[in-house]
Amino acid sequence: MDFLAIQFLTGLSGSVSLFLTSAGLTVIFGVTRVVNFAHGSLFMLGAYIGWSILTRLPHDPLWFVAGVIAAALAVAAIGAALETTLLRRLYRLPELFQLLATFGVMLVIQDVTPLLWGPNDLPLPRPPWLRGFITIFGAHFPRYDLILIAVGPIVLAGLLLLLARTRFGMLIRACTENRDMAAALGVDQRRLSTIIFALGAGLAGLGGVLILPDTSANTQMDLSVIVEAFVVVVVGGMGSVTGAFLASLLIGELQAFGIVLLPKATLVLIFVIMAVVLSLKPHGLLGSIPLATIHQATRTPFRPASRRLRLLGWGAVVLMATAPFWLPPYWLSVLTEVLIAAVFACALHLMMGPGGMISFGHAAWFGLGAYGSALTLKTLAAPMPLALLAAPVVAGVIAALFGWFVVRLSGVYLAMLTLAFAQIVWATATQWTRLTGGDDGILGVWPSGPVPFFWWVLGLTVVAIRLLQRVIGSSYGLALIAARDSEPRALAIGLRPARLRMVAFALSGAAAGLAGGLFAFKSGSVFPTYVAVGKSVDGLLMVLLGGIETLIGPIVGAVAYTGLYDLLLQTTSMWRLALGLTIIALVLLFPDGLAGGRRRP
Amino acid sequence: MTLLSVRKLSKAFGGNQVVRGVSFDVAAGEIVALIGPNGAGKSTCFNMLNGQIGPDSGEVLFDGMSIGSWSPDRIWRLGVGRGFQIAATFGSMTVRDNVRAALLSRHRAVWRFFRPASGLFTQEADALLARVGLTPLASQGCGTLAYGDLKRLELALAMSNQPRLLLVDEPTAGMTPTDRGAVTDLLLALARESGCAVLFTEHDTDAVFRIADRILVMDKGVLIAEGNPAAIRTNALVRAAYLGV
Repeated sequence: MDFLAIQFLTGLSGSVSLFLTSAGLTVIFGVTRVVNFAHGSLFMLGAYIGWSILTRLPHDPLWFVAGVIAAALAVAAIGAALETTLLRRLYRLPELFQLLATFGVMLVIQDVTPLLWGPNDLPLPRPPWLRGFITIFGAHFPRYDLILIAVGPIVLAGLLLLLARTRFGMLIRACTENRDMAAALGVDQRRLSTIIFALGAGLAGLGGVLILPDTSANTQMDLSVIVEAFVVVVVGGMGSVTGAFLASLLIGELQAFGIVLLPKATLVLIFVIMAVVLSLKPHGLLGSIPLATIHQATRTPFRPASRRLRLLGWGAVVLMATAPFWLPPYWLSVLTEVLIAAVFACALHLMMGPGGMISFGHAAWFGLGAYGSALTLKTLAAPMPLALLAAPVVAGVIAALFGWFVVRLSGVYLAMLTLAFAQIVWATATQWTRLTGGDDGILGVWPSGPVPFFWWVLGLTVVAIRLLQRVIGSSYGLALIAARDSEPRALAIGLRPARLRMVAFALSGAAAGLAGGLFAFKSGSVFPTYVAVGKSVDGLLMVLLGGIETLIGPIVGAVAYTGLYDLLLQTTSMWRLALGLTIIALVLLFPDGLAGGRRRP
Repeated sequence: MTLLSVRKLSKAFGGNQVVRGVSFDVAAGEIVALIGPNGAGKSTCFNMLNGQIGPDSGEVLFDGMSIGSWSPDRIWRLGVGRGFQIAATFGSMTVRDNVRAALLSRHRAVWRFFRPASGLFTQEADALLARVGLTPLASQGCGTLAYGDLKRLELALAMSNQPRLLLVDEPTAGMTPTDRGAVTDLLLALARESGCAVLFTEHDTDAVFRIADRILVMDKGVLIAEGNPAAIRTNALVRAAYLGV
């Protein structure tokens, strides 16, 4: 009993910081409809700025409170600046571009933070008054955590009062329910958006600084918190503050008890809960915002390649087949990478183009393929062809299962869930050291056989891409596009959109898995980084660079992006900063979507 | 012969009882209009007939089968075509591919992954397009069509399964008077030559009184009158609902 109570309190205190951050994310989304990927960075900045302030202040409770508030205000100011300079330009763009641009912001902050604060974790020494324990149910419980527990409900009550009782709150609710009507009634959305963004950022900053005495400020906290906050916001219902509170309690308690009961499977448990909630209530516990489906840009039909283009393509394949005889090893290696990237991009393109689904976690399938291959090779001592076959099979089967849960969701919900799932695969790869070797990875995954590995890659790439292109042009492809264009109409002519999408999920996952398997043999190793968010974003950028509306797009994108990336890696150590700025610039320069290829005059 | 039979259908959204105990029949080959003032519950009633919304209570019988809890795709397979209030078509495709998608579904040819779809059911698609007068536009992108033509395309899609019943929600909403007349004529012609029954809602009373064999009148969620056009014109309850006298 005592144990249960203590774990319960631990869960409560653990949920507070998550609640603050998620509440910020959810109010921002409610008013601006922007899913702010950089929200985790604001949380991280809260921790770093809080550290800088608190280490300089006298160690007594009042100064601590003052320091915490100052840090939150500083982050709020940063949020306001971010909104007026960048986010304001994004409101009219498709959600994918908003996600990408704010992801760019996150990359930039990730590189800038160590510049300002150094690369090391910064722990905050707990002052004496915070160090104490209180005896509850005969067990010691940290005094700070007990104080923290009170903060959650206080902030929730404050936010609810603000929303329910003030004129400002009324405007927020009006915009959350119906933006266009609120605008038509003369609500100044620009100012409101700036204020709400500052409020949301301040809440994230508060979450960041409050977590300091329990951990330390570090450069990984942005990503880990944004994934958890996504889960909370999706489970609670987008735009609902109370929903965020309930969901973070749920997640906090799951973590507190999960760590005792199923230490290895906590993340999986969270995902299962999320899947259950969303299959019962697709808009989350308290969500009511009807979400538009994916932004319909000017869609054009997919056309099979022209004769000339096809001849050119086969010519290129024949030329590449002779490459091992005349291309220097380094460039052969680059070419191999480009081919693998093209498979990955085409896989994602099937989902995003004809499927009309955003995947922000395609690295999951890439990584599952890579681990599937490597483990088949290592544990079953299978030959390379069999190991390569395992890649699409493993990834495809798991993608089909996952797809079955999520295909009914649309737009941002789907994007967030795919991201969350990829993070779970990543965490599993990192933590299940006995199977995956953790961060040390699996080494010695070398190709074998009489034929140079390059030919394997070329052959499988051509087969995979041709198959994907044929699928898009097939009966199934036409039906899939129909379901994307108009779900009610698709249903009314007897199509089953959910099933069509699930199969697209599986096919896309399998192809991405094949890319992962090839990449494992190409590098001779598999690491958790193959499943990291960066890999998913690589895929997105390749597809967007090349254009979503054509079959050749993802291939062109893969070539261009791999080139750009290698260039950045070679010329600068601050590649995140460079990549982040590039993404932001691309999104701003091509506001109608790179896919459309139209440039604003 | 009764084709569609609706028994005591009810639906509430929150505390708002939108449809209360509505019952009516549609015979095979009959053209029936469902009319009523805004907010009478017509569209909700409609959406329950083809599975878009599940009813709270009551029964929908099609050809003797209870289909109240069926999904739209199953209901379509029985032979129920649907036209939407705001034309729903596949915007990125050509006009012909729109119809082709419907035909693929009808002929259960959707789950084929490798043969190009572009050669399949072209003649059948073109025949359907000819019936609704869209032959010249067959290769055009659907996004370039005028609204009247989109409505025609919708009718072609709805007819693609040789339906026994067409459910059409406001076929002429948002159209110019000329287009309205043309689409109403087309609907009438399609119904007469194929022998399929039509149940449609409509605000344009000209169309209603011109083509309907029978008219159902809803007000505040309840069916208040039912009869042939002449009887409806003189019905006191209908006059009260529309004119307030």
